Amino acid sequence: MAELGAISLWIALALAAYSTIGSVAGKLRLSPALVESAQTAMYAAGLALLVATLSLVVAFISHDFEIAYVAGHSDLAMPNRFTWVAFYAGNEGSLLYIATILSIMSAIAIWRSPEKFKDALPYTTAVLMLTLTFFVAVMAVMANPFDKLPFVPLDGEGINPLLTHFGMFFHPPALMAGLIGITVPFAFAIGSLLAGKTGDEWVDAGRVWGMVSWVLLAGGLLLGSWWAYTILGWGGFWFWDPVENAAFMPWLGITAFIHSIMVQKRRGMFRMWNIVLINVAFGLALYGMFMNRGGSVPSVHSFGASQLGWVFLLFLAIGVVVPFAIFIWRYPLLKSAQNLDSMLSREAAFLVNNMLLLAIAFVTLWGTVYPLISRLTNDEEITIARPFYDQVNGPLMLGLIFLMGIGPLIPWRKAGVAALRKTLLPPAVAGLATVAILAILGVHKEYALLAFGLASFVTGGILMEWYRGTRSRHRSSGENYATAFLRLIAANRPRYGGYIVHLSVVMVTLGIVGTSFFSIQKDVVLSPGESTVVGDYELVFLGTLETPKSNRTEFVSTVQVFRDGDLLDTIHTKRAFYPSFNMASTNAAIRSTPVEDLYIVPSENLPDGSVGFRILVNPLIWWMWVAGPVMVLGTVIALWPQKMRAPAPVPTPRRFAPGPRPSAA
Amino acid sequence: MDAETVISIFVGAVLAAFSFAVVGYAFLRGRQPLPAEFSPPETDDQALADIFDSITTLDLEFQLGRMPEADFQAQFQAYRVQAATVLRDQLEAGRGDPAWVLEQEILLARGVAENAVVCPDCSAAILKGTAACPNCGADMAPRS
Repeated sequence: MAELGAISLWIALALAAYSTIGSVAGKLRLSPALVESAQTAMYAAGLALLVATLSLVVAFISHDFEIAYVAGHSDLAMPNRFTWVAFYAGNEGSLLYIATILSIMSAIAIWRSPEKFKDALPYTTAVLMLTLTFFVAVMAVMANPFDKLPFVPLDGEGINPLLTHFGMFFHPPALMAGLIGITVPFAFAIGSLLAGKTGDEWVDAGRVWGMVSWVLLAGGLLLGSWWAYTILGWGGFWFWDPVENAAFMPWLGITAFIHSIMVQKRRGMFRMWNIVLINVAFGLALYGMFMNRGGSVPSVHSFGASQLGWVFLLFLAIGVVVPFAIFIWRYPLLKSAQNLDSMLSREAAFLVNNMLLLAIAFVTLWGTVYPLISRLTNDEEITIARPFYDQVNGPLMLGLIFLMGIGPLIPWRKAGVAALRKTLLPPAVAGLATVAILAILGVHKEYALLAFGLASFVTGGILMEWYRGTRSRHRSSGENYATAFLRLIAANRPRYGGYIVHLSVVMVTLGIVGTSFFSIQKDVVLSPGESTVVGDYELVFLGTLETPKSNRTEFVSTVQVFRDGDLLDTIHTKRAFYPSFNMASTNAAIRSTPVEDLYIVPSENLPDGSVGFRILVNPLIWWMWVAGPVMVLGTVIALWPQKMRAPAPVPTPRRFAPGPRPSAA
Repeated sequence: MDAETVISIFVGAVLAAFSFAVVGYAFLRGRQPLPAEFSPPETDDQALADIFDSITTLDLEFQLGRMPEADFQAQFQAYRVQAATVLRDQLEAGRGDPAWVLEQEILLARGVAENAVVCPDCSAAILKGTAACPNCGADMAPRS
């Protein structure tokens, strides 16, 4: 399989390079045959990469330890279901995964590109294939997953135990797909600029692929947080680790973009701004991939020391400088069709939303690179930790949530103050009522009160929109409420899908605020039979069962959970030691409810049978994990194609039916 | 060289040959050279669809009582001008039926004035024919 994989890689490299050059040459020389041939080469490159992928999968399943990558990331004891994880567990395999995903996304994007964009399509193809050429070339020359060992070992080194977690099936692939997926809207934007089509032709494709990347990144970040929460054993889910930040920043950039692009789609505005935003998002995505592969800041997430760092840094530099040079070249042509009419408009709300998102991104970037800057300037590394991010990003995020409540309720172009006041009154009352009730119940932390109030404000606005729309449909058409609600959502999917996504963001906010302000933590050593009290819970440690396995020794500790003297649950928490990796992994026992999680993890198993436990009570974190599926649902609804319009442009015959001219307008 | 290696190399060669064939196929079909610019795409329908999409949203916001009638009228007029521009471009490019285009413009201009009524209870401007006021819920059926 090594030969087939290696051959496929080189074929993919040749095809991607040909597609890049052929697309541009065909466009410049006005040769449709060359353009078509280059486009076909793009599809063929995807096929070759699929063959390479299949070769590596077969090599894992057949334990082909002659291939260094297979020997380094699997062993005979590894169940086949972890092949998917082992595939991208190392540098080489993850590059192959990224290249394959990029080729598939490119093929779909070009195949489904809008008719009005065909003119600029060769340049878009060239940008996509240039990026693919880079990844495949790096693989073929510097990090080939099909390199052979000089001898065939009897067994492999095995998969990293931290990766044998359900979340690992989705977290890395979703994040990598999200990061590379930003290339697609970026390619449409640059293709549009290169072709001199500086209008709105690229907007639909840019929006769709921007949202695809957004949901992949958002899902990846949430799953990564869940993975960290359940397996890393420190009870938290976000560490502001440099590589976490590196995935978070492009998500912020693409979040700004998918909001801003709606303004261009609706009103033909923000044309320059959207190009800048997608360039920034692409630059941040390249930075994320650089950090993962030899970036100079150590992280639990990176692929370790690798020589690829400089190559990715060079690609990052080119990927930032060249697009901005193209932007400056086309700058005089990028005129918006309309100007901002009023600061009291949805366009203005989106603009402020963009500013806040970018501010958070650049604060995070500053915190991430500051250790490097301090090392270079003072010979002393100063690490930026969580308090910095909390103090600076916290208020900015609250501002974003506030805008999330206002933005969807303000009309386009210009809002009347009286109408706006009337619209915002019910959600504002809901927010203030929440603050008042919580204050009466004894919550006195200002930030938390503000956050809960804003969450209620956003939720109130969304529910009010749903209620009014549903009631209106019910009364005007006689549909029952359930049908009216479903048809309301189906009739304007981008709008109502977006509302569902906003609700999921509110859920994430609840989880973050609950754990940040109200979490209780206790570290305690218990002998069998001993008990401890944490919050409202009394915990009785019954004992530990030690079980030797083929590649690890498992210690399963059993704990009874009581509240008010009643036995609530008996839970089992696990710690496993892997001698070959000299590494322990933990599986926290989590009793999860919408109100709070009881989280117990064994931090150390002592020789006398006692166990060091970390015990936490994390309020509202359940909502954060539920937010993931809700977010995906909302995005799918927003992206689901609307029924094709009839060619006649009149929206509804009822409204614009011919009739006598009115006597007074 | 074992059998697996031979099969791998054979499949690789087939993949290379297939790739070469599909890439070269475009040249065998004998295409005419492109004009100086690729032919302009037919974008009018999409532009109109986008404008009417915006009108639908505007209408929804108006129906939900979030916008006074004056603002609604002003924004509707702005969209109407955009739509009229596209229709005129379509006409000038010889792609539209003049009578149909004119009819569309007239219908658009009449749309708001004919269809807006004032709710007797809360004075919100709402569409004629709506069974209940979307703002206050008042029954809008014709009163005897």
